[in-house]
Amino acid sequence: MALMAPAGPTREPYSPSGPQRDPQQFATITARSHHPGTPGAPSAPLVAVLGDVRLMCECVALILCADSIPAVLIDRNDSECLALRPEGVILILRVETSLDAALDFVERSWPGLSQLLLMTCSSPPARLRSRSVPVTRIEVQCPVDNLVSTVAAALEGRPGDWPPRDRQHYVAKRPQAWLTAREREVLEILASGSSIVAAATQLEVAPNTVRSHLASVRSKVGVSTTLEAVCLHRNTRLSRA
Amino acid sequence: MALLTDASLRLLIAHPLSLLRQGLRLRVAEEQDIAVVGECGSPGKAIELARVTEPDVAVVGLGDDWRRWLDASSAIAAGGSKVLIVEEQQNASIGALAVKAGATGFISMNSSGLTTAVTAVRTVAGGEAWVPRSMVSPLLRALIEDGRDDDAATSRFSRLSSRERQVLALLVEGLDSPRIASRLFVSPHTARTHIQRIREKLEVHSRLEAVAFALDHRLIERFGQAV
Repeated sequence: MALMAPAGPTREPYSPSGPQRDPQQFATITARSHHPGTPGAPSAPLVAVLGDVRLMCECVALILCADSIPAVLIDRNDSECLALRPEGVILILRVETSLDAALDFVERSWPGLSQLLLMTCSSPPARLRSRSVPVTRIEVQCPVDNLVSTVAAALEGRPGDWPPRDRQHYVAKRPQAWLTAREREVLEILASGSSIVAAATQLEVAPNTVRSHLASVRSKVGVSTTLEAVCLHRNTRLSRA
Repeated sequence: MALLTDASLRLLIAHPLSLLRQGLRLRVAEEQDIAVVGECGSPGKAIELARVTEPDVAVVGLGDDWRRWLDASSAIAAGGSKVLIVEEQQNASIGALAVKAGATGFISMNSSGLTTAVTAVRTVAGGEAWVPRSMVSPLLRALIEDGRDDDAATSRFSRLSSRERQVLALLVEGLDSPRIASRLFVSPHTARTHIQRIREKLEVHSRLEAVAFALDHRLIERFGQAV
C-alpha cells in the first residue's frame, strides 16, 4: 500500500471555492486487493474520503483499504481527484464547518452518487436539509468494525448500524415502496425541518390531513412517534421507492 | 511490522478515538523502525501502559476530558517517555498546559497527515520539539501569559511568612487545622489564624481556593516548604 501524503500547509476551513493547490499535492491511497497494479489513484475507487479533518480522513481511508474496501483520499481542490467516480463518499467534517455547504459541494461534484456517509468530529448531530443522495451518519467515536460494516452496508444499499440495529432490521424487512407518494412527500418536508402546519400550507391541505398521513406512516414503519419516523427517513430514505 | 525485539523506537498510542488509533497503527506498520508497544483509549489505562511498556514516544489525544489526559501526559512524561499531543481545537491555553505537563510535540488533527505524524514521532523521539507552524505563535503567547500569571502569583506568595508557607504546604497535603496544629506543635487556634492570614494574603476566599491557587501556580513545588 502506498501512501503519499504531503507535509502540507494548514487546511483552510471548508469552502467549496477554496484556494487552488498544486495538483500533485494530494494524498492517494491505492487499495491493495481490488486494484492490483494500478499506479497512482485507482480508476474506480468504491469510496472517496474527503473533509477538513485531515488526520481522520487518512485514518479512515487507510482502515477501509486494509479491509479490502478500495478507498481514495480526495483533495477537493484537485480536479483530477474530482474526476473520479466513486460509489460512495465519506465526508469528515469539523464542528465549525457548514454542513450544508459541504453537502452541496458533494452533490454538485458527484451528481449520481449512491451513498454519502457523514462523520462530524466532536459535535452533536446537526440537522440536515433533505438531500438527493442518501446520507448515513457515522460516529467519530465508533469502533473500527462498526466503521467498516457501516460503509460496506451503505455500499450494498443496506442501512448501516446507524440508527440502532434492531430498528433497522425492522425497517429492512419491509418493502420500501409501501408508503404512498403523499406520505413520502409529507415525510420529506418534515425531514427538511418544517412543522406540520408549514407542511400543510405547502401541500395546500389541512394540518389534520398531514397528521393523518403521519399516523399511517408511523403505523406502517412501526414507530411510535413522528420524530422517530422522520429520523429513520433521514437516515435510510424510507420514502425512496 | 517490525518485531518488538529489534525495533529501535517504541510507540504507545493513547487516544480516545479508536479509528485514529487503528489508522496510526496501520500507517506505523509500514515503518521498519517503529513498533507499537501499546494502545489504549483512556487516560488511566495510558498511565498504566506507559509504566509497563516504557515507550520512547507516547501519542496522546485530548478528548473532552482533556484535564485527565493532561494528567496522564505528565505522568507519562515523568516516566521518561516523550509525549506527542494530538490536538483538535487549536486551543493555545490547553497547548500551554500540555507543554507544562511535559509534552514536547503537537500534531494537529485538522492539518497534519499520518506521514507528518510519523515524522513528528521520530522527531520527538530524537529529543527535538515538533509543533505545527500555525500553532507556534499562539502557543508562545499563551506561555508568556501564563508566565505573567505566575509572576502575579509569586508576588502574592512572597507576602507569606515562612510559618504561613509551611502551613500552606500542609494544607496542600490535605491536612485539616487540628492536624496542622499538631504537626507544627501549636494550638489549633494558631493554625486557624495562620490559615486566615494565608487567605487574606493570597486574596482567596477559602482554604480550598488557597490550595487550588498553590497547585495551579505550582507554588510549593517551585519554592519548596520554606522553613
